[in-house]
Amino acid sequence: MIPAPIPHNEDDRLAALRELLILNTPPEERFDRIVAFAAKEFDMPLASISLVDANHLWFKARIGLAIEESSRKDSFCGHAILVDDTTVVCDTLQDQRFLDNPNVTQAPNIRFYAGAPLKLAGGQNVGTICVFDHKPREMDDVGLAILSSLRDLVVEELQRRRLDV
Amino acid sequence: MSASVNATFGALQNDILVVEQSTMVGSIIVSTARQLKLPGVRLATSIRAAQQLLEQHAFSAVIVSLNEEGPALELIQKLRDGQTKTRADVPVAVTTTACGHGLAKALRDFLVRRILLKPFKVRDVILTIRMLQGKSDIQ
Repeated sequence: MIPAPIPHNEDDRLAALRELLILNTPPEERFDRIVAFAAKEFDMPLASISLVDANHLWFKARIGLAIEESSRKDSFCGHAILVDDTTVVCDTLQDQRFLDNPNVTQAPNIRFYAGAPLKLAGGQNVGTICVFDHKPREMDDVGLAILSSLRDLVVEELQRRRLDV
Repeated sequence: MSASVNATFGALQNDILVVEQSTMVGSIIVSTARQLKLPGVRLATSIRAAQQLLEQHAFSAVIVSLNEEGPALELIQKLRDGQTKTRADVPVAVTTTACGHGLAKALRDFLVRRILLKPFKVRDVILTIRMLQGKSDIQ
């Protein structure tokens, strides 16, 4: 397993995330409905809006996940925020970064992951909207475009909150 | 007609009109179509708004939600009667929660090309847009 690397702009990224004033806030319908839509659209048992804090991954909205946060170093989203494109792992057992990851070898036994980074206007990737499955899958150009559209909705909501404060 | 006016007219004629009451679903359809570089998708969240757009522009295809079934069918009738700026033989698809024999017959008479049952997936709408544009073999 390759632990999630730390991006070069980590300090700036964390500052932007905390300025959103969203970490550890209660669930909100505007985010819950986007995640529910993603799970249904892609027929995925697991979906989340994940925010990558210094040491933890925190779920602002989630479907199929019992936990509210998890370790950053074991997270898929910690890898996905390193790039601006959507990260797709068709089969975790075929990917050196994840094949012995505890989220793969134990519950929730993730075999497929697709995560679109939540890029703020300032360029910081603060988290992802992602979908997971227990079996290997693929995602075509239509799926990637739909996930990107959902990502844009989430970013719009995150930044609206900041503007409203 | 000047070249710029011709170009604008041509661009509008390539647009697809989607009538969808859910703003979230509609915005995802528009955004996804844009990312896939499909023809421009214009969204109307009501039949009334769709009628206003059809009075102003010509569209290359129309996807109509039948949530407001009566007014929606009247809208398709107007299209087929050539009472809008859009060609009377424009490809039409519909979205609906149910489709009984009566509605199915009416839609056949209107030469509707596809019926999407709600809850549909955005993927299905995108594939329908491609089909209406003649960019897919799916019929």
